[in-house]
Amino acid sequence: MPYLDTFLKALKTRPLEWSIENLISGLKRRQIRTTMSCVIATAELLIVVIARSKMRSAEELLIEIQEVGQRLIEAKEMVVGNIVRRFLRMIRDEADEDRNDDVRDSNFAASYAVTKGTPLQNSLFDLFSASNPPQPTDTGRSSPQDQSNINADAEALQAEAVDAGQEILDEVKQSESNIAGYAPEHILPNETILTHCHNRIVQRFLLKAAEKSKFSVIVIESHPNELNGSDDVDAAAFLKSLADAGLTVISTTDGGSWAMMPKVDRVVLAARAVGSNGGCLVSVGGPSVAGVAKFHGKPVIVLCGVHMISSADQIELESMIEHGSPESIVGNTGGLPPNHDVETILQQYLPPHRINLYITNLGGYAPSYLYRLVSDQYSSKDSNPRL
Amino acid sequence: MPSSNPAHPPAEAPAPSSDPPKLTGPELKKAKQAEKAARRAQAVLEKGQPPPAAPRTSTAQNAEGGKAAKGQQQRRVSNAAAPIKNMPIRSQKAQPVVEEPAVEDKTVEVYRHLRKPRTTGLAGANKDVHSAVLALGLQMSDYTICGSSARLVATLQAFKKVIQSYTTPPGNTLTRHFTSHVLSPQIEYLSSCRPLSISMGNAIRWLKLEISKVDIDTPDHEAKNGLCDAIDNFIRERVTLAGRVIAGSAAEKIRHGDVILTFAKSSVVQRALVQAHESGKRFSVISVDDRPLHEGKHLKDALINLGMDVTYCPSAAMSESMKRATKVLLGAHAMMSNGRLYSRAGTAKVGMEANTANVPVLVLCETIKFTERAVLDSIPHNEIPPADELALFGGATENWRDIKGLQLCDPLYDVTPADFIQMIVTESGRVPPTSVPVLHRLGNESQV
Repeated sequence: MPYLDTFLKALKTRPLEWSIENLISGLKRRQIRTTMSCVIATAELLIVVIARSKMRSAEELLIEIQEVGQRLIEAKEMVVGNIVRRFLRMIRDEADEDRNDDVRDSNFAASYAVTKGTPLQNSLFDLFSASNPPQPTDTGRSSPQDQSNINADAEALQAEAVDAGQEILDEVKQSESNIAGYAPEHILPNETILTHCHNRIVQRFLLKAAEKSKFSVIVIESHPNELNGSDDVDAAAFLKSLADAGLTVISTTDGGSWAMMPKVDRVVLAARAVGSNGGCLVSVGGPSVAGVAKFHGKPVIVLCGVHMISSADQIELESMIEHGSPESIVGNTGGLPPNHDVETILQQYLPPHRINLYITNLGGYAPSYLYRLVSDQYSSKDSNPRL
Repeated sequence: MPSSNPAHPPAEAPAPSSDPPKLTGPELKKAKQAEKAARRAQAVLEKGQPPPAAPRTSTAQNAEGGKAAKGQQQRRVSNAAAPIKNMPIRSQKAQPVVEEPAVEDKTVEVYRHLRKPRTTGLAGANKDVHSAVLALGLQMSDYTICGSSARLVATLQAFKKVIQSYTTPPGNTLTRHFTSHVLSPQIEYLSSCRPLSISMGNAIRWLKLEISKVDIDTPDHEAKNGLCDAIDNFIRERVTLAGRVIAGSAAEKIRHGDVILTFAKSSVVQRALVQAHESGKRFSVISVDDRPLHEGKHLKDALINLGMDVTYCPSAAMSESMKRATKVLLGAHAMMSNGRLYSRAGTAKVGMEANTANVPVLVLCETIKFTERAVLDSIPHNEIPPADELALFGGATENWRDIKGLQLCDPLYDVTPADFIQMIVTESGRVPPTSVPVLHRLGNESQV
């Protein structure tokens, strides 16, 4: 990821506005392509936004993040919106925590208990309290002492938010190895695993399982290779790494998936973006493979980091689908006659009924449960497509 | 070639009387070979297709020794001259032939029972194999003649030449001698080039029966002419006319505004589409295909040239195109007696997606392709082409042989469940899949 490296280097030295524009153009031009590098770049940028912010309250910080986030989201990368919403939620939580601390300090109400993953706001009251954060009951706020209090609070919040942002970033960075860690549970010796395209997470997943047991992998090589997803590694490298790990690797075509399926034990796919309804976007051809598996009664496992799960539904997911160039399919397209069309779709929507299990960095979940993960991760206040 | 002119030369020198000098056996053979080579070269030029393949599997070639190696070299030279895109990789493949220790079994376990070395050259061919059959075998093994119907017709035409150049040796009768001594080696050679199609099997069974019906007292030329006429009739009835009837019948089913999705390339489907187009119906076509043969591209080009609206769609994106399709027309390699469709790999997936999207599936199939065999899935009976063909067509796996544990597998056919098929259009009418065994008995077995 050379683009990511230069971006991160420049982020430290260049003005913030320059970095934002740089990332937006990088996303739009698909110079920064893999989900992981999109996530890292966004998270690093947002941390810098927080660190350099001159805000005086959590609300101001939220607005700042929302403004930057909105511009990034317009670059049409689902996972970027997820990260922005994670940050918004995180800042809300930090602000609530501070406020609750204050409340607790004043009236010793020690009922507050935050555990990871449980939604914080549970009452209508929260809806109001979050929109006007610092002590709405205060009337005299012009005294210089109050002013310095607010400044101190803001600084504390800023520091906490940067730390929490760093935590999100770390979680995302570790997600792939966490997902791979579940592999030995799901792949047993002498099984036959079928996968589609050459996804990096799938590669790590299978290699992790290969440490424990030996099995066969059938790889559907989608035609043409250029159409494969942006999270894919080079096909030859993918096949070689699995073969070198001592696995039997069988490469076949899309057409071969039906003929091979009776001998397959499990199908492993990787998602590009996941919706709260349990459906997801996968590389083109993936839904058909999952359909064939379902017809033959074989379980379909989809790998994804929780940062890929969003509140989007099928229509929003499908609006994210990219199209490639017809040149990679029919060769030189200089003289395509007007009555000649080429289907160049790059991703497809995989409906939840063709999926048996999602394996995320937090564990395995049925597609029907994903909406809970969504409500755990994001605040309902940020659920609009536009921030 | 000897003409159909009924000559009665001695068996030792079967040269036709029209040839001025009498040739000895070896000379004749040489002349035949030269002629065949020229014909092959011409066929290659005409078709613009890859010439007879350079060796694909090294293991198969090793056994054949020096003679085979010589044949390879010759072929490589001729290949180098031809401007064919796929050739460089193939000839690269040929190089590590000698030093390969052949330790690792690269065949896929599931399909190991189908493994069969494939003849890709003339070396090792039985000396009784007719030159026309030799040429046909090579064309089949490199997919120049690829479709089930095309192979059927070409085989029967070649057998006609075999019959015409045949003279019954003294003390024998055509009925008893021809099938076992002349026809069998031809069939054996063809099936070593590429497994015989179901339709070819049906036709060969019919031809053997015809031969056995010939009265032993019939003079040679009369019997030969009779057989040739019978073959012509067979082709006309079972393939040409059948195809025309099916195409017309299917074209009726195409309506204004339809979006017809079709997979790979079937001659009957193509004819049906063209016929519907020529009758003034306005509809569009989605042509889906897959590696390594990319037959849909030929169909697409042919239809575009006629001015039809065509979308080309790689197999992976097929379910996306299915969303706007209104009918699916499929060709068949064979229809199994349990109503399942045996066709180009990927067809079953098309059927499945059509079924999911509630799009009706019509199979266009001549009854000559019906068989009494019943299969459930694509594993017991299939055709596995040499694995290098998969690596050849632009895959990322060019040097896959060097990677231990990596296998390439590309079954050529798959079996579509009968549930996915709404209608089979045959020359005997439009029937449901359950009627396949009935039509097979009426059409194929009544003759036998």
